Amino acid sequence: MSLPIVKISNLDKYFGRLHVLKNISLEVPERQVVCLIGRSGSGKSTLLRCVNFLEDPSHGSIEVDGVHVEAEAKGKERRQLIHDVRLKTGMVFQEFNLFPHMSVLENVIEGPVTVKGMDRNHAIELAEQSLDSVGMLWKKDEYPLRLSGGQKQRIAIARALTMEPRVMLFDEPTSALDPELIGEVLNVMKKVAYEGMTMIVVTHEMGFAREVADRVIVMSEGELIEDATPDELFAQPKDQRTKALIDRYRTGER
Amino acid sequence: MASTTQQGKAPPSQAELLYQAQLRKERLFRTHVGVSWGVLFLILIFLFSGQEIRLGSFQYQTIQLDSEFILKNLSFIAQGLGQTLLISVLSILVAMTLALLAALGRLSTFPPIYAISTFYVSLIRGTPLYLQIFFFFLALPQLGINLSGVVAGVTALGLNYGAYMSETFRAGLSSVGKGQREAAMALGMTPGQTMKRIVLPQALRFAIPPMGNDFISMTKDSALVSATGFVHELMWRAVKVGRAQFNNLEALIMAAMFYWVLTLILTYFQGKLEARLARGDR
Repeated sequence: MSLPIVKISNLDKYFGRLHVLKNISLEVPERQVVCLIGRSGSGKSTLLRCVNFLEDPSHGSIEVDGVHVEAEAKGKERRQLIHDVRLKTGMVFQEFNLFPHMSVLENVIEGPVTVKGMDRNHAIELAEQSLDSVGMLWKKDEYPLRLSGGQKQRIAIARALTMEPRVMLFDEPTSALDPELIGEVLNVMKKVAYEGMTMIVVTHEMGFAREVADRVIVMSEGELIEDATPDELFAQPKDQRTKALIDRYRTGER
Repeated sequence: MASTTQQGKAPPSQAELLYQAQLRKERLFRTHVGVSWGVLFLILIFLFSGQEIRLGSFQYQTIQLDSEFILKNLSFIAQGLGQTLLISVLSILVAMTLALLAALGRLSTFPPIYAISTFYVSLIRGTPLYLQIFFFFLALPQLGINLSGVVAGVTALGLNYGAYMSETFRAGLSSVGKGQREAAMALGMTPGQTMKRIVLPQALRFAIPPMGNDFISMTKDSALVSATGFVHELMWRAVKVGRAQFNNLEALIMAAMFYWVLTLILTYFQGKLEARLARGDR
């Protein structure tokens, strides 16, 4: 097993007086695909968002590809470390969050050009490759408003990939999609996984977890309650709450 | 319609017929409104035509305007249009700059910046525009600061509208969803880059239609600058010739017509702009 590329240590997160993440430690080795599952409010999205500091952890530390950030870090140093972490992570959101005032291509080159200072033509080359790999190159001059949810999400994935991150974070990437559009996004995610990307995926898609994940982690009330391969987890859940969760998915509830 | 022309064509569907009926209804409404406007305008002209109405024992003399005075002074008053527009354009530029700064200041987590922004908006909105114009023109010289009428007027109008328009910008900034900022930050953008590249372009687009309305209001509030007596815009000219020859009625009506036509023209362009922005692809 290779070295951990993401290392979360003793992480706590409070929202006001609410304790949403309770002393969480987790290591993800390179090239692993981890699915985080759990009922809404279990803290799985918050945990994911702590990895690239969209949420500030209250205590503990995050390490991504050798960049170590303590929750208590302050000032300029903290900003620099968080910036470094964000350069190593790509994120895909439930609501896509494409920039509506930019064309598809402009959306995808925005990061490389503005953040990395890349030459525009070079960025376009990379962007076109990414768009092609998610099957969206033909829409490069379109504006997001005119695209379906599935198309938007595939472009959002291309946008994140064009930054050449070491880790991809997916925050319920198919939860805002009409059922018939979920498949195209999952297929793109599968492709990214098979190309060897390290991925942490918060999802309700049990089929995807079963088929693509190397590891499934179950969260409940701010704690990791089970951590196993999909085969083990779905066949023989150890924790009663995991069992209840899997049953809920089987009957189509969330 | 002759039935022969319909032969060989499918009869229009129910939906098509309903849609056509709805379009006719909308067209008819617009036509009626247009005709009514025309009638109201004719009545207005008639009221100032100097005609005498006699209905049996009822007798009414409409208002007689001095047409000789009007013709003689038309070009003198019209020459104020340039100044009116100049003051409005300069003031709106000052106002937009201040409004943007004030709105951004409102987002600051640095207490002094937040305080300056809210203090400015509160002070300006808490005092009359008329007073502010006089303040810059009449009160500042006491402190040894002499501003020309135009500069005092533009400063006052700009400061005043900037305070009000900062709310427009603020609404624009808060119209940009949290997800947009998060997506930018996740890409590694700094707060400055996020503001400049992602938030502001969307916020400004949101704020353009209300800013057009503010500009139209400003062309009319620029009349207040005439109070300084040193800015020869529409209002000042109307008052000057009206008082001199005791033809205030004619002079003010003329100025009113200039303002009205100017507003109609600007409103037309404002509507075009709004329709263009509403298309949504850019």
